[in-house]
Amino acid sequence: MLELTLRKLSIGLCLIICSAAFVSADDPDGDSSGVAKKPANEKSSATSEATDRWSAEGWPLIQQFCIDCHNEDFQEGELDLSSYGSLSADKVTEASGQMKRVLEMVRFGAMPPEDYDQPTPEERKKLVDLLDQTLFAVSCDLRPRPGKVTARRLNRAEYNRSIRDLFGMDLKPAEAFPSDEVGAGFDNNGDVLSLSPLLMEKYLDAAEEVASQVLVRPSDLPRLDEERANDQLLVHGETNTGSFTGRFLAVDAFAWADFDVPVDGEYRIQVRGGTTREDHPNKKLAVWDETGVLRRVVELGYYGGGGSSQRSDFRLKLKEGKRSFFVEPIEESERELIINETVSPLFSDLDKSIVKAAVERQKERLRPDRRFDRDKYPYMVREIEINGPSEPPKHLLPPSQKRILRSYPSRRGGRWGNVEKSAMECLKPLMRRAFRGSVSDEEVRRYAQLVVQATEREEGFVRGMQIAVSAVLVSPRFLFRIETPPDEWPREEDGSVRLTPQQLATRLSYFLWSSLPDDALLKAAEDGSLTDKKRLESLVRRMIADSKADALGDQFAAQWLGLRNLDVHEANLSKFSEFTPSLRQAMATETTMVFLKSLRDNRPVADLLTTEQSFMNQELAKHYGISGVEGDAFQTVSLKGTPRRGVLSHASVLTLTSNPSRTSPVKRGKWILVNILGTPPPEPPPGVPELEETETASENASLREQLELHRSNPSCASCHRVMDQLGFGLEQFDAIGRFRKMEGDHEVDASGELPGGRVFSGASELSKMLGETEAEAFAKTFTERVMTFALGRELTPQDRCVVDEILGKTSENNHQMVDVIVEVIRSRPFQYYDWVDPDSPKQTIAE
Amino acid sequence: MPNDARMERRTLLRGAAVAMGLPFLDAMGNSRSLFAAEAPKSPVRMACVFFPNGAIMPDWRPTGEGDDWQLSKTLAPLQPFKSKINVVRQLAHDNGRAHGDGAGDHARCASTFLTAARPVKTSGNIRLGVSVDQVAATQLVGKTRLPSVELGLVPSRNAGSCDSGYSCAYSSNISWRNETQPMPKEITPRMAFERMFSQGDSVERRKRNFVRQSILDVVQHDANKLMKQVGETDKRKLDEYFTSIREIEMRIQRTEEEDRTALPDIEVPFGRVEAFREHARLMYDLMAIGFQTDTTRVATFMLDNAGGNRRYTEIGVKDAHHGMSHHRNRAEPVANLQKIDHYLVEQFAYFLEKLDSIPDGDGTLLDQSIVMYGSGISDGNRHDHGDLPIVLAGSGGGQVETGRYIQPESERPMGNLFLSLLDIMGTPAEAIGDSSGRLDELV
Repeated sequence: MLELTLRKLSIGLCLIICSAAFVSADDPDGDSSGVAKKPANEKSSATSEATDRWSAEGWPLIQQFCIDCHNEDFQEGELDLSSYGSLSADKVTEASGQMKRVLEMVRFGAMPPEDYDQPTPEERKKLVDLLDQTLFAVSCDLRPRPGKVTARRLNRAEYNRSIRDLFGMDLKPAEAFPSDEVGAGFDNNGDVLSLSPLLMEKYLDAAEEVASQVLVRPSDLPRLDEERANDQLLVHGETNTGSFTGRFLAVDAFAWADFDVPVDGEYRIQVRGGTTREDHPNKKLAVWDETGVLRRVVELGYYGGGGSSQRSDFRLKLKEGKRSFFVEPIEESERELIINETVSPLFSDLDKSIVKAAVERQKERLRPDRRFDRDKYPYMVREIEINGPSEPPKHLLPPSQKRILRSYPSRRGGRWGNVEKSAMECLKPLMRRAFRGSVSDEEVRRYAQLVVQATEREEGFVRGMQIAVSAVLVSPRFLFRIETPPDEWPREEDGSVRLTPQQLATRLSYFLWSSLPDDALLKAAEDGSLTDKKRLESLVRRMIADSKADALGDQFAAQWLGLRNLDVHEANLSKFSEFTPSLRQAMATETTMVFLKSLRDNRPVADLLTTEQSFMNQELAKHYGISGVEGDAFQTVSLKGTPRRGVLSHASVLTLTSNPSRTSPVKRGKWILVNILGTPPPEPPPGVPELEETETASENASLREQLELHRSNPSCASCHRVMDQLGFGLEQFDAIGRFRKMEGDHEVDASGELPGGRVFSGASELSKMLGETEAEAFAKTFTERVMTFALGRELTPQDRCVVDEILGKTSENNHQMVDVIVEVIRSRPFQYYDWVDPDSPKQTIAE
Repeated sequence: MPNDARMERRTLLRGAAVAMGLPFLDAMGNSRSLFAAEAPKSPVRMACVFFPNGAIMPDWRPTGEGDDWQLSKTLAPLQPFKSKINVVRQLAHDNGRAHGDGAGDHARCASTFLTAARPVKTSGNIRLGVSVDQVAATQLVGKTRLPSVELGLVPSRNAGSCDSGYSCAYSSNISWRNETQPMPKEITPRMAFERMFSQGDSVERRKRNFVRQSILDVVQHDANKLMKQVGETDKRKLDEYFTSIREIEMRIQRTEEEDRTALPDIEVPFGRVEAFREHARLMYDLMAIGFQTDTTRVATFMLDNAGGNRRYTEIGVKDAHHGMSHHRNRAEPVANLQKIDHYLVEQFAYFLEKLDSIPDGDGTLLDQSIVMYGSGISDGNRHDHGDLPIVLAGSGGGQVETGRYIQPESERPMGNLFLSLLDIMGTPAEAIGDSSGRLDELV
């Protein structure tokens, strides 16, 4: 029975080992096979030293603790270690995936199983170190190939940020996109990011939507072009109607018109009319606004008889809303008139009934009378007209409008001139940024032709530009980050290729900002700053200081630490009614802010575990039982005097590692193993019951007792031993991260012991201990995750050498975070890529 | 389908295919009794075509009289249809003459052309009269999908003053719905096509699809270029891109095809048509198909706005049309103007040929139509509004005897012709503009 379950466990284990080996063997560019042939020829002294030492000191340990089960005849878990006696370079390369897994299992303490002879901690460490050296001395001895990054489609976050930085408007069109595939822990992995017809359709929709937001057609802006003629004018006082229905005004009579001004701006107002007798001198006409204030005095001469009229126009700044203009003939020297000051005495009489009467009168049909006494009516008014605003209202134009439309084609007699030239001037800088590289005139011209065609369809230049911008946003050159060497670009000896400065700038900005390079970065690419080690470093530091690097919190840290699982976490709300959407959000914000703060302060990676500083808003602080934090804004909070230290005590981590109704020390332990120590435990063997089903043993037992019961099953024990101990340390916090002393009726026991006799009690001790004793492992995990994110691909065994190198370079200052990032950027996999010319003869794999 | 080819491809009217298989429209179907033994009587259609700046009249006027007459140099392209047309003399627009309104003959030329009314000289409150086509159209409302269509080749200017204080609306429109409302003309063939034949929101959809297709054409070019540069793994990613693009294109094509089944089989480009001849012929095509499908029975067409200044360089005339029309009888401009007159008549002949090629009723569509071709000015040099150049084609379903050179003894108001035309259309009116009765010489 026991044997059977053990076998089950091993089979599960094997699946992992096998699949790990499978991944490296299936390396799409055939790297591993390429490398496989080399070690035999270039076996260096370092390599042979390592293999010799392995045979002398490592192999005996395998024989002592492992070979009983994992031998040729009895391949437990289909793992046969009998050939490990001599680990030649060939053998290592061939079995590197398998060896790596063996290494992890031993290091982790999962092997040997608990009921077998256990190595001493020293023996275990020795076995791990030797295996590690043998494994990686071999690969690292060679110049590691940089690897090939598959063309990366912009993910949702990158798309949104690229649009934001391209147009200066945070439109977030990608919210409507389906979520991105995740590979190697991040959603920026070129190999898994796919493009479905559905997504393409969404890209088209988004492109058109964005284009219509960043460029506004003049015809879509509010405008007022209205005239109030003759019969549409409102009049008060003694008036008459002349030929062509001109309105003749007696002294003290006036006419007016109401307009709905759609938007603040400058408008042109035109009054048409004139004095009624040829021998009259010019006369003044006062123009009052709806508040009775004088806005202008115009002067008109004889109207000309028949249907003629004189006209006078002027410009006024008007506020949006209902505006009226009253025109009143005034006698010379009647009174002093000051523009914008004098108030008309007429307005004291102009009550509602008068207005109402005028409106009623206006509905009647005018009957021209050609026989009245002109002298009685010194003035005739024919029309009041308004046009505007004269300039498109700036506040209604998006900020991007002016930036994009640097040039405007001429328009004469209904025909556009030089549309292509103007369109190219507008599009070239935009395309250069959107495509993250230089664009030829010929390329720009094809986009400009869309504008030309639109003007030919009489749809206008701005509409044409909208179409061209849409096209830019669905071009593969925008949607994909594709790295190919330009013509005449030098190849390295091993066939790899260095990124062009522009490509490097693009990698940098998508790594640190999840967005396209800004002008400063493109300039740095052009002036050679990126190839200079010192200048590159200071540039990277500047980029991290920039607020755009907040993306590292939302994109990198959130995925690394699994914070996105919070969004879908389901707490049992009848038990945890406090778990509101806003609290959920606050939890994630705390962790990303702590990460970003440590990053920007260039703290050692381990600080994330031990920092006494955090960020909270009122809701989160209250959740933690911390007073003195008010409002929705996050502020710095010291954790001194609280049981919390570092990210392990963040409600985010504690919640996302819990079950809906209770904590899960197993999940918490696993989270630490995966994200902090970088040693993911093997998947549980198939057929192992969940904790819930084993509960029957003792209904009244504490969770800890139940887990111990669970672990009494040897098939589980080997893995859970370490995992659960880690998780127990966090038992002081409930399933939504609140501090507690009791778990139901049981007092919480948060003590535990890690391999090597490291005893702790409670979360802050655990964090401190991990920060001190596992700083190297944590830094390694961080480096691996950063590198995976930076490259957008799964790390290869060869990348391990690069990681080690980075760890070596940054160990002096305890692996400060920015230093690690700088070293990742300097590394060969970031600066180079494997390259096979597409037109070179294909490698015949079949042979 | 590559975009460029589509944009530049000339219209293709697929001859006989157009005549076949077009569904009867509801309006037609309903007017037919299921039990009627006879085929429904085909309706009469009316088209009015306007050209600006008058004509060189000595070269326009036919020789001979009555049934024994010969086409002139300018009208020679109409020879194949001589038996199906009438040339009418002595028609005048008295309201085109100044009579105290002063200058502005071109504004009065277009505005009187179909209204016979006097335009109020103003740049603001335009006032004229109803045009003959609209008198007919108003009475035909509900019988066809569109009561009328108004086509042109150059944009209207409806704001501002165009000719000596006349609103531009007067120079830009010949069709007037009422005293103050000109009917805006459609100048882009595609838009006219969509307006005439598309249903509901399909116009917007098709426009959007067209724009999308042009976008996809451009970006596919980028993708093709990249495809040549990248390695194997990246090719796979770009393949996804191509597949997605193709799927969208196929969807666009499917909707296009679905729409197409309900549309006449004519290819009309989306863009502006630059060449005059192509542009004019496309518009004539659309009028013919509009009549054929009984989408409308009334159409007007302006070859240019009044006082138009097109340069007909394609026939070797370098000077602008209106400028030349004040030729002061100098030989060169006169010769060039005659070339233009002839060229325009050629295009009109294309229209007649089209109409005459489509069977309708007992004869052809031309037989079932009454088409007026002319200008509101005769001698452009003197801005003469009498003895206008007018050709009438078609017999209005046998109501008009054709093949005649009609020369009334004295001047007749154009309005009289209009009343006669309205009788022929079955949409009679008591008076129009300055009409004084019917044109007795016609019927």
